[in-house]
Amino acid sequence: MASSSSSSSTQVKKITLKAADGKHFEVEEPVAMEMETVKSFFVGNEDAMKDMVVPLLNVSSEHMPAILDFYRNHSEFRKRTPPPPAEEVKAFNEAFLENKSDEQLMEMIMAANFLNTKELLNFLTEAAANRIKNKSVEYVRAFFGIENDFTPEEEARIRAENEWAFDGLDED
Amino acid sequence: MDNFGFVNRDMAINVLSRLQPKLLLGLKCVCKRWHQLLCDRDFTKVQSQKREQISGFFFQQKFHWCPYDIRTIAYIPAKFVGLNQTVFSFLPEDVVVLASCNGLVCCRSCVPCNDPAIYVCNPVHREWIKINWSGPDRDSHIALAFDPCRDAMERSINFKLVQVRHFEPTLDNFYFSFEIYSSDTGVWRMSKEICNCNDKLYKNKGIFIGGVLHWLTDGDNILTFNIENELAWLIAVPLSSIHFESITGSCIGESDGQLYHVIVSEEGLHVWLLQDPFESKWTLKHAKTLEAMEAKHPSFLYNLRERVIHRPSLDSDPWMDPLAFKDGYLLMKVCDKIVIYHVGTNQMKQACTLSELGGISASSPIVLTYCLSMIPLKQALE
Repeated sequence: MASSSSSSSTQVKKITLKAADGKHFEVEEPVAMEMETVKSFFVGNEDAMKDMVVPLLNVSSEHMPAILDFYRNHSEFRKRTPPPPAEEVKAFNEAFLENKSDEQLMEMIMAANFLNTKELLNFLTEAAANRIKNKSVEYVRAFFGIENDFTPEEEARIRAENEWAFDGLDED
Repeated sequence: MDNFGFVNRDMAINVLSRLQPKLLLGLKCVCKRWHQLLCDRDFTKVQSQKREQISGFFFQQKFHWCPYDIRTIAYIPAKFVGLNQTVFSFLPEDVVVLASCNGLVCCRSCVPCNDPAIYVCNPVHREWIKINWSGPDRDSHIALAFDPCRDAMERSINFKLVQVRHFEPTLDNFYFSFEIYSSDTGVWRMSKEICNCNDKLYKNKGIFIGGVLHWLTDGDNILTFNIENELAWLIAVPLSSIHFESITGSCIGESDGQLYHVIVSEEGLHVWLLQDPFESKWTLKHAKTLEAMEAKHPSFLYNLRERVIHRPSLDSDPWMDPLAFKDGYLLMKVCDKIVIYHVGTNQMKQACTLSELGGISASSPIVLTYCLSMIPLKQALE
């Protein structure tokens, strides 16, 4: 009896997060606290922690598992002594981005922005910047889902003005 | 409609601020909102914190004896082949380039002209500020001091111009004076500081590093002037000219926020790094003998030793002449060609020939290094 009660008290507390589409995620407290938005929800209201469900209005459940996976791994990387080799972190980050479409990446950037977590946000925006590096204007428009609102004449003029400082681009 | 696509304005700024200015320039035509954003102070404040590497060189020839200015300025990119002579076409008149500092370029009216002026511009945004030029003089040495990390303010940017004059009140007693223009106050004022020196300013003018301007002289000194405390100082070059048998060719430049001195002599091409300005202490960072240079770059260099040793005087046009240096890229005139030599990789490529630059006059051209910056000169109208 005694042992079972002590094990339950040392058990990691869980916090329930509710994604935009209503799906619930049970998350260990330290992982949930990586998100400033979740953390601020409980500030001055620590007792509420037990049964509260934290609504995450701007985060789709599609991205929650990946985002939580990122927090879990990176907080483990940070705590580990000696720190993990750079290759291990790199391998995780690369695997994380693999198979993510541009649109998914954009959605995750907006999610990370809403969750207010610098580490994830910096990582994702850096990844987005890498994807558009040396790409054509047409590619970048498609990447961000932006409509061109210049007339062909305006666009040609701006291109001509900047041509002197400009060298080749990569293939799209 | 906001037209930021999948993300909002803040996130667009976050992503775009990670790109080099050169790439951003091409993205100005993505859409109107981005065009506005990329010229916006909010954006450039984040972006300008990054140190930009060299983009290219401005090259302007000069008549030696004739009282007119040459009106073409060539832009020579450092990392790709191309030549453009219309970069400053947005200015209201033909100009001569004077100084370049962290993305801003200072020019003056070509003379003779009715209303001579100085322009400080950012060619990337085709923006300029006109400044009164009192006592116009074709031989004015005007340097530009602008630190994008410190001087990019909320509504406008701060820069300073320093005009150096060489005076000779009595024989054998020469000195430099410094007149300072501050964009803050909009007026020119004479600094109390003078610097006794018999040498004349030569080639690279007003290289701005860590709050200090540096000018190469035709003697063994580099003139410096600290913008903050307005103190002048002479730094001795690594090796005095008496050390060499030949008449050497040299230039100064900046890499990673430090001053370098490049010299071509019978001993080869040497690149020195300034360690301590007050002790004039230098370390040799890169050395190639003339023979090694010639063996590596036979399509550009031949009979190099002979040509370096037999330069008759400082006024004569050297066969191989280092003109400007930044971030490891050295622009040189070699015979009738302009070449770019990268010191780290030992690669040399032809940028153009002198005749492509107009080929009017090869003697003492004005060559400035340029690094592109997205910093706007004025606050865009909201």
